[in-house]
Amino acid sequence: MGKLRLLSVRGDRTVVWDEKQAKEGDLDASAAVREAERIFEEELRKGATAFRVESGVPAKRLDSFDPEADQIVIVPRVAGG
Amino acid sequence: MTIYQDESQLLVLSAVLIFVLLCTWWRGGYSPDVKRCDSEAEARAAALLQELLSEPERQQLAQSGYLSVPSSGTEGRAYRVPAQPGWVEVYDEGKLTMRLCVEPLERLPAADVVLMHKLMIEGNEERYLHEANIVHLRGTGRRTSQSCP
Repeated sequence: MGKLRLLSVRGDRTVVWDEKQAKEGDLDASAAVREAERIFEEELRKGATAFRVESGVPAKRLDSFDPEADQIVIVPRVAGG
Repeated sequence: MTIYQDESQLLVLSAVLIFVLLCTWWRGGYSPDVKRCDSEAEARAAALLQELLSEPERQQLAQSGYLSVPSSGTEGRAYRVPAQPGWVEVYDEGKLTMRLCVEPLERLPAADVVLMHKLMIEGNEERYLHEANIVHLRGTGRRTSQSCP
């Protein structure tokens, strides 16, 4: 089960998908993967950065959606204050 | 004529006052719903941070008030991310060498800002430093009085 978490003013918004079921041909699961990918790309176009997050391992930046990631966190664009 | 001018000034002042009140209301200053939402957002952010930190990181943040994030690109460098938004301190071989001011372009709960710093440092350090407002302290040991943000 994959999880996309978008940081926002209201706390994180979560989008989940099941890559295994999608691969088995489940239409709803495939739609969920596509929706997660759409949100991922939309946020990156706005200047956000995405990271693959795994326990005990430093975060890794993602330039494209990875449906096999357990967890992806998207942070909004940053700038010097 | 004088009365007319006074009335005009009064109208302008009233319009400005109404505009300021509307802006304040729109930004949530008088809205209990938005305040409640903010505290919910802070709670969600705190829960996410707890979930994504390791036990030693959680303890460090709670006890020291900062999270130490090792650099992936420079050996001996670590970033101290404060629990509340403010300057991120850079230590090279244990010595304070820089202060960085980096903030998200959209408002985030404090715990999400800590997570943002950690992820950017771990996964996109070059970009993080490129965007940062940097105060170099090398050799001076001076402290800055500037505020961040």
